[in-house]
Amino acid sequence: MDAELFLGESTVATTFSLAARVAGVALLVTGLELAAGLPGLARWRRPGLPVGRRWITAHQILATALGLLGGWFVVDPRVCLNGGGLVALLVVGYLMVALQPLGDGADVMLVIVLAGLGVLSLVPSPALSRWAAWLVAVNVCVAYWWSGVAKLRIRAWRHGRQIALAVNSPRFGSPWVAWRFLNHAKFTQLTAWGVMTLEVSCPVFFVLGGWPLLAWAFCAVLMHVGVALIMGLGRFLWAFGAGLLSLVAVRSMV
Amino acid sequence: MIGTVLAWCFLLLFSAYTAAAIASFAPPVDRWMRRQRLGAATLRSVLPFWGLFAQRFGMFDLDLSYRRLRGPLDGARAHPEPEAWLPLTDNRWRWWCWLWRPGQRADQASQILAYRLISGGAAANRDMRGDPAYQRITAVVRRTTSRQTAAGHEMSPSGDYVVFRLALSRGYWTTVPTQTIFVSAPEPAGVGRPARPGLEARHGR
Repeated sequence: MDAELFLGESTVATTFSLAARVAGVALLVTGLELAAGLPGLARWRRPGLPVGRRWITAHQILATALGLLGGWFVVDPRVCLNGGGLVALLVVGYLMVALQPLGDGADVMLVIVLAGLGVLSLVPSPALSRWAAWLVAVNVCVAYWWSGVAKLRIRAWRHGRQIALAVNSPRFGSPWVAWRFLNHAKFTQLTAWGVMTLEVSCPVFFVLGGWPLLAWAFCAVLMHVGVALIMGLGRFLWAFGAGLLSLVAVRSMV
Repeated sequence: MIGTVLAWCFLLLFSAYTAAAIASFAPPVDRWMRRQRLGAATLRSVLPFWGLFAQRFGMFDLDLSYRRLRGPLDGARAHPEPEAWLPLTDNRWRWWCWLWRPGQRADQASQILAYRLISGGAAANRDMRGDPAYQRITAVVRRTTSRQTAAGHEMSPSGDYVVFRLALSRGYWTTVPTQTIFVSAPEPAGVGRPARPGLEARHGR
């Protein structure tokens, strides 16, 4: 079944296509980063597993191919929606398992989005396509809500200290940003509560739909842009961006 | 036809995963999932745990570095030449990291192993050589210091030893200096060689 049979020429179709393009960017970055980082990453495999030059080269080729497939999704999102997403999912899954350790949150979100978008046009009935799309939406809601609740349980997050400590790390922040967060306790606490409220409220805004959901999604994108720029976690922006677009598309179907 | 069958399989798996992710909110289900073994892992650890974004364990500041000891190491009489400490991963924040950060994954692995090392009692001056995290880190250090031959085999200079240390960094703005909380025993540098008997673990600062 072709993607357009289910999606048609609608706002929903356009949003899903956009989600596929953004997922393509996430794949492109994931694949190319893996290809570049593999020689270093291979050292961290469990003792006894192969880390020879041939193994590394073979996996670098696979990771580069994954990146190129992502680039193809960006140019033509129908490739992703017509099953290409499933191929990409299998490769991402294999690389995450083969490389040990498993991937991070950006990889998980990417796999979730690819699973949903990949089966969207392949299942034999529109009802099943809708089911797949809803699964993505539910998983995106769970991801945000759970992240928010986990933060709320921690005192350092409620006081705002955790954000300041994170950006004060040479891994996740610049000295300039760290100084601002450490020096302005109220601002830091406000930021922490903004992040927690945004994450916990995801299911509420999904139920509300319409402009409130769009406004919430815009704020979420702003948060991810901030995380990408300040903490250097760019892959999360693309993977969760694709998840957010899928969320909006699913809500538009109702 | 193959595509449809594949799509069905994925849809079923995706549905099962979603159901499990939602069910794991319930404490009894969560406990049950933690008990179910899938090889070395548990069913719960296979399911992505979004709560990790809260970083409750503060895994931001654990730095692993290593150095080589050149020459013989023979009890108290030996005087091996230590080289400078080198970081095991390089993942410092730079302005382009939002776009491109290939070192992130290896650093993530180093943070997890370093955390496991502390959980295993590294900070309490225990002998850690039986600890899986210690062995994994030692293997990484060996691979890092090894040279690859043209045939793809790894070779290390014989007679050399490697040591790694775990330091706790307090970040950019602090009056407290970086604190070394664990130093490993000298381990033979060769890939896959057993630890030399008779060498006592040197723990401390």
